[in-house]
Amino acid sequence: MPETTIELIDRMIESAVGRFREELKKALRELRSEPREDRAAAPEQADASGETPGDEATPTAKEAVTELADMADKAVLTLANAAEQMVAIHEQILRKAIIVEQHLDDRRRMSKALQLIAQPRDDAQPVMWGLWSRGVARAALLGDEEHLARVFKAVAKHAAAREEATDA
Amino acid sequence: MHEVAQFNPSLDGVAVARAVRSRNRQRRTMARALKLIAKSSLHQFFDDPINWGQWSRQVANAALYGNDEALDAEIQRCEALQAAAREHGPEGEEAGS
Repeated sequence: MPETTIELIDRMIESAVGRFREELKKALRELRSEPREDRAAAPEQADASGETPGDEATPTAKEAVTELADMADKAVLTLANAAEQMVAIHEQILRKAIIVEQHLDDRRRMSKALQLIAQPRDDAQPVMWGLWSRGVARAALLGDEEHLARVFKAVAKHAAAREEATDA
Repeated sequence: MHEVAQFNPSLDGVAVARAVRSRNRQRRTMARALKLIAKSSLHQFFDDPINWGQWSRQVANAALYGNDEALDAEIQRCEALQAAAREHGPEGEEAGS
């Protein structure tokens, strides 16, 4: 079965989110396994005021991992939300496209019916033509394509017969 | 005849919106004309110089040429006729019975 656009977008988003998660997990694993030798050396670098430079600002390895994990969670959530929105927008576009398509069909059918009704004809039988026009108009409004096709065929046949008679 | 609004992918958003609005207006005009014809009946033309067949053709042409004013006038005239027939109807039935 061919993949729909929505399915394709879904699959691409799933794949992107999956890859993103894998990358983050890898980065976290590397951070956890990294030795924190810099912290052992820190007290020796105290300045004249007795404070270690960057002691307050530099987080511990555990804090950094937690912070990174939070950021990763937020990023995944943002990506998932964006993906949901993208799918929702795509669905809206599809719905609109279907409506536009229906409107085009309606317009084509109505135009066809009006052209049939508007064609020049013999006015000797006005009631018959009135009934006929009403039938065509109702068929167009109800979307009865078969009725309209039959009428078209009959009109074409009638026109051909009239042309033959004129030639003869 | 109506100018046919062709879809052109290179058009900008405003032009596309304008074309869609124009198409919708044409669709509404055509629907109104078809409803008018679909609701018509022979008794409407008893006292009319125009016959049913000619009238249908005129309404259809008005819609195809986008003549909304003529269509509006005809719709109002037909509604007035129908209202008069409704008012007249029950009295006629009572008189008959």
